[in-house]
Amino acid sequence: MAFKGLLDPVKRRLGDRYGMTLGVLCGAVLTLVLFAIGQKEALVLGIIAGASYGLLGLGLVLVYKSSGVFNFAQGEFGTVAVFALYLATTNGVPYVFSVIIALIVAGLLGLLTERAVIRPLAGAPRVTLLVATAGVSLLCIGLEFWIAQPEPRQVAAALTRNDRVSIFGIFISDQRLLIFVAIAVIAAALAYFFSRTNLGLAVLAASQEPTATNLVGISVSRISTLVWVLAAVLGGVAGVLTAPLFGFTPAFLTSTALVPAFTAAVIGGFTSLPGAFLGGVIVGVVQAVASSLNLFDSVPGPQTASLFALLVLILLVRPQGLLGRS
Amino acid sequence: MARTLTRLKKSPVKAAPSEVVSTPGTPKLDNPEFRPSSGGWLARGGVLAFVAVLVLWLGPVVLLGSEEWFALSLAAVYAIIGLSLNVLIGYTGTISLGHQAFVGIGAFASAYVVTELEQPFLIGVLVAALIGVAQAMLLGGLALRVTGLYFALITLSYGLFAQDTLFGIQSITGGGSGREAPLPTGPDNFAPYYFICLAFLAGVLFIDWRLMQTKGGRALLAIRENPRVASTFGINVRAYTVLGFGVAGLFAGVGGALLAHLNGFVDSTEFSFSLALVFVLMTVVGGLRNRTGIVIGSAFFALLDLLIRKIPGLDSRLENLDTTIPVVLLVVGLIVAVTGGLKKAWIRAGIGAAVALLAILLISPVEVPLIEPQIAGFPPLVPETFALVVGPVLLLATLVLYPGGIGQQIRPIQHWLAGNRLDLHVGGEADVQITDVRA
Amino acid sequence: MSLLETNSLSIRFGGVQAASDVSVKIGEWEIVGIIGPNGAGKTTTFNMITGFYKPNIGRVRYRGEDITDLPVHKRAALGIGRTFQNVGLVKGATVRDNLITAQHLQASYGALPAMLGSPDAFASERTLKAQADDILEVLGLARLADTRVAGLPYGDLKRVEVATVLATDPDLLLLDEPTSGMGPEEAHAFGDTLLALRRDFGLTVLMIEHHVPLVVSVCDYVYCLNFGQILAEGLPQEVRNHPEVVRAYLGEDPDELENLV
Repeated sequence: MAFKGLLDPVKRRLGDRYGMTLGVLCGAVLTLVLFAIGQKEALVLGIIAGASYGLLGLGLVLVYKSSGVFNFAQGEFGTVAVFALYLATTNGVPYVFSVIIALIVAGLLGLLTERAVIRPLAGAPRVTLLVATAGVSLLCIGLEFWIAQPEPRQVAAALTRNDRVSIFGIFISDQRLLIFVAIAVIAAALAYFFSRTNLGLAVLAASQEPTATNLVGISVSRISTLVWVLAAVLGGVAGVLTAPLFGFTPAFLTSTALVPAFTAAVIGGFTSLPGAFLGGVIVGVVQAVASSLNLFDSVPGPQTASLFALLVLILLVRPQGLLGRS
Repeated sequence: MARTLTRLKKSPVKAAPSEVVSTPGTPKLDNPEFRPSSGGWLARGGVLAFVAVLVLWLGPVVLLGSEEWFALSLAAVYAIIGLSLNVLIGYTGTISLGHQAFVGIGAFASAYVVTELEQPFLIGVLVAALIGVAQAMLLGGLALRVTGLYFALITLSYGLFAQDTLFGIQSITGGGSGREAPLPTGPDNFAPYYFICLAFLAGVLFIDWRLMQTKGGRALLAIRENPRVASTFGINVRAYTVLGFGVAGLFAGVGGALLAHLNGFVDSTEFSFSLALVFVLMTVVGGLRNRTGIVIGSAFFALLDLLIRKIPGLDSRLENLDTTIPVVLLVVGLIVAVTGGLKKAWIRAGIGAAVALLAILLISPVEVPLIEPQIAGFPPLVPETFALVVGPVLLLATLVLYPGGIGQQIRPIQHWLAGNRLDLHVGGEADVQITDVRA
Repeated sequence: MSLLETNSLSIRFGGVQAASDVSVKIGEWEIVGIIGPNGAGKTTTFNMITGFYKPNIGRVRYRGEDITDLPVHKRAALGIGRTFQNVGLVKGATVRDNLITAQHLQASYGALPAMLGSPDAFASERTLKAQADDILEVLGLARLADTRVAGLPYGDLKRVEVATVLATDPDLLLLDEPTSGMGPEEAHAFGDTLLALRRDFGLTVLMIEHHVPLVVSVCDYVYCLNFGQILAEGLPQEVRNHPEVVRAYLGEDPDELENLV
């Protein structure tokens, strides 16, 4: 590719920020294009959907940085939380406490997975770990089907007004706004956590150099537990926030949000946390636009098709993601 | 260009004659002095003959009273699918989380050819096989550029894409309403279909066996472990990787076609992500690179519902148990979570205790105490979905405790059948790990 | 005409010039050594010769033919075999299976018809197995034929690797530190083995080595690399005593020369 060399002086100037700049530029161009072709509703809704993909993607990147494994159970961490939320609310527990219970349940699931599945397999090849997390996912799905059958159910939203806010002329329900705000706050908090706090730095250290980290007195196994609990809670938050929008069934997050979350993480190069979040937003927008444009009328399932195409494209063209390092 | 070791013939050392061809992954004559006596051969032959009789007559007719031909056919079809996934995971070293797409493409292809193009069943299977090969090889081409865990992601996405988009194309798949695939032996006549499926299974086993006994299979195993070294042996890594995918696609296409006609109907909802996980599950639990183990493992998962129905009283017991089982699991899980990481010995003990407890609860005449109240808002537990829980538990147990799966457990028997002395310790764990896929 | 000839091979990885202007010539039946401190570019040169790296500048010629653009497996078909620094074998397979796999190019049947049961395959497989056993016998490894490679001790691993590369029927053999981990006596014995193999198998050898006495006793010609460039070349004794070479290995003090012996 002859034009690859053209960008070299630009790359050198920007250094590490190259990917980020590229991403932001692409985002700006995309936004303008979408406005021009009348897709602003898809854009706005896509960004919000993408935020929850980004949150799941954050959980994926965290676990990958810490345990080196692709966590296929990430979607189920969220789904189980939603089931817990449903159980609590239908048994009369006030909403706020129900949410807390749901997040605790998610955290416990993460803890359990780390203790009973990940730790015993500590030295195993990464593929084994991947299949193991898929097994955890399937176990959760099985339990959900066993208890609940495939009926769709509804869970109450935290906020119910639909017409308070409008962005660019599109009315956003309060719940959707809550999703975006909550997730943005969490993402920012995580960014702060990893760059400014000792514990956050310890997590990063443990993922890069477990032996050295242990030698300086930081317990890598405790950090591993922490990371899994954190990732599970993030999954729980994503589930609890988004389930009210469309209702939930067993395995709903895994079948609708897991692949987008992985794609988001890939866009972030599986190393960058803000990258995963941004990646989620990109995926959300691409999916929303693909289904509202419906360029090829006869193409069913434009969301999964566009996702597959996006994933393949990124992995072929820029496998380190938009924001990852080479 | 083929080159022969001409120079070696000038060497003063004489070549040692030998008759047995050895292959990676199957038991060999390890001790050249040990030869079974004629009684020993008779015993081995007897065991094999018994297995054949069991599969062909004793099982279906005597034990199951000629009522379960459908389930048995399903078992044979699942065995074919398991073998196909084994070619990918076990031989080529590529994890596929979208295998339901391979199978579904074969299913729809055959259904289309038989109902729309009005061709006979065998043509349907043939076309399904060819299309299976083609789409698998396309994916194989992709695998050359993207490896390891990232390729696993692509297969995951591909599977979902196939279910939503490919299987949604109205003209070929009938869109939401699916497509019919009539049973070639006549409506509801499953008995002869079982033998047809067995014949295809035998064919698949034959091809798999020949593959692994010849340069293709060896090339795959070498590439899986060490592609650089494989290329210095003159192996064209890219070509053989795509070949591996092709073989997997061939088996999956055949399996899909057989599945379609067995069910009488193909419809995209059956090819979900969960199905892909079940396929991975049965292949891993069966034991990678062990054909017999995989056949047993796949058949087991296909027959799980049947087994549950056949154990007297299990059905009603499961209904009565209501919330007990998940609660027990939950409590055990909490204890594990709180007390810290488990040593493997503890996990083994725990699982043993849990299985024993479960067996007692389910099979013995002991009165089972119910845990009240029923979970508010949820219906009573259904026995059929019990299988959905047992499967993953077995998978996790396999991965953590017995990575070689069923194959690892039966290796001593296979070793003995191949003509060796009975050795219960054959086949250590190092043998059977799912090797890292160049991630 | 030399069997193998490289012209000014140069390659750069990111900011590092791993090799520059490496030109070697190897005549048929020679045993040529490549020495040099760690990181000198010796394995990089091997990788360029065998096809794992494509040089930025320079060509590789084998029997007069330019092979610079050939993929690795095609070079193996021409008769170029190599070993690896950290033992290149299929660890999950048995010793014999490794040798049979290595004879891939001598399996005279098509892979596809073989899968479907073609009778050619059966006969050919028997031949391959017999040939594998022959080589194991010649190298005294017959007792290990059915042992899984993964469990073998280091010394046996190295010898199995030699057997395996011989099974690929090479004309030119590239050995990457074949005596690493061996003491001086073992290394010397390996030298005798190497001479015998050259004679019995008609080999030409290019060898990366650190055991200087072995290099001196067995090699017909030596190249010394440092920082990716050829520092000196010539007869073993000349190169060993070359002041630049000594300085490259030992720093500035020429009195340490005795330690080379």
